[in-house]
Amino acid sequence: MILEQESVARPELSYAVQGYVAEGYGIVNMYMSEPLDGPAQVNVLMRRMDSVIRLTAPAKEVEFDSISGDNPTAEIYERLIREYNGYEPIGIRNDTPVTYWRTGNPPLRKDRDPSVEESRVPLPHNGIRGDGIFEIPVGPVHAGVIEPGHFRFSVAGESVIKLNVHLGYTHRGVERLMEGPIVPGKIHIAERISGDTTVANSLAYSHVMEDEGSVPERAGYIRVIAAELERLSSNISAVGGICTDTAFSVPSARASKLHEDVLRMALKVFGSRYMHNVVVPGGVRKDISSEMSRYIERSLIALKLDVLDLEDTMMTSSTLMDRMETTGILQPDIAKTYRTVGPIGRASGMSLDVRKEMPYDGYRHLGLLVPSETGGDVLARTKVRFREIYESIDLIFQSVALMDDGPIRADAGIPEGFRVGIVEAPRGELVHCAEIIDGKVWRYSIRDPSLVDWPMMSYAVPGNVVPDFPLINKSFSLSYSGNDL
Amino acid sequence: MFKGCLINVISKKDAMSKDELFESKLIMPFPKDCTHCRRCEEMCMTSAITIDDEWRIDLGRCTFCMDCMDACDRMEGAVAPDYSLTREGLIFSESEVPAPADGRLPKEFTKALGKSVGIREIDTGSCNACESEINCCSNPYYDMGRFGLKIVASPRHADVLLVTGPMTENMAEAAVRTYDAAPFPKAVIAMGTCAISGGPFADGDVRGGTDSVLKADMYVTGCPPSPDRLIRSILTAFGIARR
Repeated sequence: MILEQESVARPELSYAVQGYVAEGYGIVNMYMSEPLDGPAQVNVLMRRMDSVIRLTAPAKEVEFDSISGDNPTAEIYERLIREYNGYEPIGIRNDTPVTYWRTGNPPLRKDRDPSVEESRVPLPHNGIRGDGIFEIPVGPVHAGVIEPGHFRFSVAGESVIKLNVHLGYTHRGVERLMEGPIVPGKIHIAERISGDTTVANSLAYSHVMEDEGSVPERAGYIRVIAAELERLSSNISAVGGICTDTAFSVPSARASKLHEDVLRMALKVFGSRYMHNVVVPGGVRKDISSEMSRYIERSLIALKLDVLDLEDTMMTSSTLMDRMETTGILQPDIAKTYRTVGPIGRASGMSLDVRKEMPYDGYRHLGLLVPSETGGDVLARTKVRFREIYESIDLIFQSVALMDDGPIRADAGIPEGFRVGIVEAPRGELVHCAEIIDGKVWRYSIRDPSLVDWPMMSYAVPGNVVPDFPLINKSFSLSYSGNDL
Repeated sequence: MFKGCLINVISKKDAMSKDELFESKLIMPFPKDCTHCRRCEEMCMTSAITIDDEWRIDLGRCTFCMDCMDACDRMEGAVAPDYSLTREGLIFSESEVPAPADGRLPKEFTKALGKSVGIREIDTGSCNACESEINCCSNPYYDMGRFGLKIVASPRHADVLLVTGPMTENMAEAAVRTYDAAPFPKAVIAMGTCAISGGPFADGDVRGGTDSVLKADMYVTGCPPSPDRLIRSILTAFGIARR
């Protein structure tokens, strides 16, 4: 990874960002940091292939110039800065609240005063009125076993006209908890940012905290095996969710069985169903014996046959195809404008994949095909997920074959200054940034892929009937806790 | 009861034995001949281990990361109890070796509910690993429906409110309103470390565990508790299991 840093004057940030966008860069994170002295800074992190640029511009007292007029990708970050840091973006067009949040005490402000009385703002209505138009509020406690989030549909009859997504219910203050002295235990907080993205989050945290190139080769391959097992489990459970929500019960039961098989495999290989305590800065904690490697191979061959069979059952069912085709279309131009990441972006014509563009750890030596579809509907997303499952199995086979004996953990070095870790999580590009001063984390910013993909629901759902919403939601399969932090 | 259900599970070379499948055990840190050197206390991220005049561990805070085991050779594992009916029942000291849990919930719950329990899950800020495990309880391996446990869609149908995650500021009101919507008798179960004490997020924007808003009747240990341990805990506490 090549990291460049550039600081620009306040009014020029928008032009600078636009210039880099014209060169093919995309915004991967944007956050507000308050240095020890001087005014607060707007940080924009951009990436093209393996080169990363960090642009910084000073903010005014409690406001900063919005850059989302020219760069729509920045919109969601600016709305979040307003709610979490308390800085007002001047000139932002869309000022709908992203989260169910309170006023009077922005949680990430350094001068936060816990004694200030907080009040909650009632969530705004969608603002669509007319004869026969109703608004349906859903959540935060849902009918299924899923995380809390609030959705507001404006419907005319059965069709959805507008959807607003309000999250923030699982905000635990992770970014603030990550600040302070660097101790080994902090990685356990990173692991619990999003329970089914444990490895990716601990990997991104490790990339922030370790010197590049300090990881032994064997550890790199073990990291790939752990990360790909996690991707397998995530994609299989997403595919199973689509069957569940279309009441296609036999494949649903089979997918849940396969999901459990992957979790069991993780338990047997790494000692934890969700692969907690596997990745640490400088390497990994658990080695894989040659006997375990054979076990992984045997199980994956069986798993692949089962998944092929599952795909066949799903793709040859006319009733399921009827539900999936042309449902929840995310147009490729919208996906491109907002730089949608992960399987959702790849189903809408994007082909962003950090593993390919900016290989890290074992991925440097592995061959990888990035699946891409252009349909943008539930079917396209399902197809992408199936192809990712095969790709993950293939990557694990490659890693097991290439793995040589050697150490699994090395000295990680002492981090200082601005550090960034970008990895491909099961849901897409995951970014961790840290500003480290004198061995202490001053500001830790996390960009979960779900953050940029959630607003895409508002584009994919309108035009569909209300009963299709759960199906579209499952095909997106986004994390609430990773988004809320 | 557990043995009969294994007929459904196809036997393969790598298939887990029935003990591994339904008798999984959670290993907790427990010292042997502790010298009170405080290394484990310093390593512990969630301050689960405290050493005053005696070594003490609070399973309601432990995330089972085993950092303490790496730090100290004297740290040996012990099998953690699946659940406890009181918060104090999760705190163990050097002299009290943890025993398997077998406490029963009060008669008012078990009598009214019979052998069927409707579970409504409330996520009050969990990381979604607990949700994943609850969903796994319904898969063909565990299939908790056959024991009379089922996930219900509305708190109006619920006998049990299964709370996961630390109680965040934003979910506190929703949790209370869900509780109020459920009919009596209703048992509140705090599932996992975060729901018991706030776990690693106790210092964040959370109120603490479930107890900070609702009174939990039962605490299930683990981070996250595996499906068979969750099923076993509920069956034992409600007196459904015939062991």
